[in-house]
Amino acid sequence: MTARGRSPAAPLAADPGGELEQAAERGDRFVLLVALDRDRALYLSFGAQGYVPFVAERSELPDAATLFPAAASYQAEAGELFGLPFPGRGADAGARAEVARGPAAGLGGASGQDRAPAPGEPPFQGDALVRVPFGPVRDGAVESLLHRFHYLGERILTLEQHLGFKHRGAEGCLTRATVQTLPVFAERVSGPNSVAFALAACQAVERAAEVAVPPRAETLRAILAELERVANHFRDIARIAAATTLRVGAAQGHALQEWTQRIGARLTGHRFLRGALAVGGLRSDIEVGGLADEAARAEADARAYFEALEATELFVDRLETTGALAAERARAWGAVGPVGRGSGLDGDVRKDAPYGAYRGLDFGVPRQQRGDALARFRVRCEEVLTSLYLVRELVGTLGEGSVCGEAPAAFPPDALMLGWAEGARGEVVAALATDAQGMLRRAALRGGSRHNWPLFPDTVTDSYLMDYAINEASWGLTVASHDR
Amino acid sequence: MFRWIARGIRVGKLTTRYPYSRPEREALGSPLAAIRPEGPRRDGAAAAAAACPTGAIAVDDEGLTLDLGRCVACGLCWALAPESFVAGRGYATAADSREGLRWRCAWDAPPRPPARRTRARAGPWRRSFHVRHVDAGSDGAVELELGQLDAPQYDLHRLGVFLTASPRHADALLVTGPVTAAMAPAVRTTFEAMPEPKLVLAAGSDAISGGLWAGSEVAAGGVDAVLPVDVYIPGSPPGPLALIDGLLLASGRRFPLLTEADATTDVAP
Repeated sequence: MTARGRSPAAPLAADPGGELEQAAERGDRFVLLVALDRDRALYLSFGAQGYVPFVAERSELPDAATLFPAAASYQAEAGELFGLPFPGRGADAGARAEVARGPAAGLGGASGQDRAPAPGEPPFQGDALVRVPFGPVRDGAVESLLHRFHYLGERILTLEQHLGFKHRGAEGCLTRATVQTLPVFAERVSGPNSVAFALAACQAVERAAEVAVPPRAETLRAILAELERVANHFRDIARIAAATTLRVGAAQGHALQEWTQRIGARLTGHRFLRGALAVGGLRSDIEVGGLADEAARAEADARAYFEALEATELFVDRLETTGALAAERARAWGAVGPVGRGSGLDGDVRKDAPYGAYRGLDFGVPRQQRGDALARFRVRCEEVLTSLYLVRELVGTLGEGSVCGEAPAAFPPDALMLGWAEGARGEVVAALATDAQGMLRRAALRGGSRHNWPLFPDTVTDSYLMDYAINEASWGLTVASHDR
Repeated sequence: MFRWIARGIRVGKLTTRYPYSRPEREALGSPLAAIRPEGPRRDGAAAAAAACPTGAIAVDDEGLTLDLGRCVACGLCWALAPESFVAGRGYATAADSREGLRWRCAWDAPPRPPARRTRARAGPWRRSFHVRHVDAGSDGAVELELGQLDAPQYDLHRLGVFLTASPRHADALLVTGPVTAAMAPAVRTTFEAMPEPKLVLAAGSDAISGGLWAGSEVAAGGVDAVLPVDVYIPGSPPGPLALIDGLLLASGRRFPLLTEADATTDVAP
């Protein structure tokens, strides 16, 4: 079973616990765990042999959280949505609330408590301790979530993270999708990552139904995916600049994002590049005349902008050491996207499990070792330049021909379809299951933000209140793709 | 710091002249379905109505109704029935009633867009207008577009419109998303905290009608179900200019260009 081959079928594991242990021994990265229905769960990990999926029955669900810490929140979610009984802490862990606590020892024994505090409880009580709920309605035009802090002076002792306010039942509604409307739904699960989500979903079907996508369509898809990455990274960089109160720097980042979105609107008719992808290729051909020159110009503008930011001490100082995520922690979690690559990981499915036009493409995956906000900022800067270079390369290799492959009339029956794509916030995985009539029975779309959010509180605990906004901006995660 | 000031001056002014003059429709309008100028044809329209994932198209003996409040601009209708529908674009798309988004059109008759202003706005907001945004389950794209209103290309502040943090300072509540069960109490609390007089805006097809998530068990299927809505801004998501248009329509501000485009919803090929 290779990453490049046919859709990895998901066998019902005879010994699911053993499979998990083998994955851990191989040093595989934990990808996801989703309930397929009330009786079965899908486990997916990624390693040297590509994606390794297996299915476990309700009666013998292994506790993946003991081997892979990231699995806990997936188990909680599967338990909440489908009533699957996971052993261990996954079963009763506060469903979508992750709690991180700072070391009480750092307080010099001020706690005066004998017992260990419960999750979410501060390590000690007192008048100086301030408890602030931040959300779900937060300052500015941002997405809804609740962060509840306990802090003492400037220091954050605990952070409770409550997600799920935006749970709109998107995956349930997705089961209404047909081959034709699948990308329409997928594009709207996480707005800023429209192309990556639609691409993962389309490629899942194409793999399972063995649809050949024309080379021109593959190249154009990659161009759109790179433009989406550039627009998202400009936006995240602008938000980091805004969090450090660098107003002009933020405005110029937003201006660059706007130009990128307008280029996309000219190509596809939509500022978020929606409506371009279809199962089998593209809905219609795209005229890319002049795009290479525009990408070259944008590259020069971006370079000058990044240099100006790097030369601003006030900006760099605020990012340095802020929200550091240790490399071991990131590796154990399987952190994806710029967050993982900022902590020394080199995961990028465009390289690790190449698809479409990325198969023959040579490019570097930027990474940084520091793990702090500065590292995540620098990863994004380098990725913007790489993506704009890729756009020029791809335009150069774009051949003539059709863009519409032969899409099947219906989904293959009784299938489990897996697809993936690298989005701006990391790997996007689509797991689609069909029934005997070829109707979607379960559709799970896991974006990079879904995987990384539960890890975020780790970097807030024991940090300083003034750093919180910068840290959150440097993670740049979307709530919509977590809550779905 | 001087470096940034110098950079700012070097880059120069990027801001659109809208609403003092017309922007390029191609670059800036938000996509929505539109009916062809010659009018809809009966052939193929039923197929488009059946394929529409949000049920935005209703067909009967006399003609069809296109509900822009449901349209997510997926493009299936203009792909399946190109003789009736076309990829439309528009920024003057907001309406102060749900009826203002319903395009009723007889077969083979040139389409007449609906009237988008049904009430006189006489609020005290002509000079400054403060808006509190609440995300009630959007896909995150509207938040990006709202963020772009701060970008130099749009610079919302020049129009006296501000996004404010406190509901106590807010004249209007702008809600995005279909209002999930978990966010409904937060939306109500925010509204209650606002001083009178106050307005509610619903931005995006999911906030207006639930959009693709209309049948969901965990979402209300639109802001209407929770609060009385004053202005609807269609789109998936509505673009920055469409958002500005909706905010100005709500505030009752008048600009030469707006007055001209004021009467009817403006979506055209």
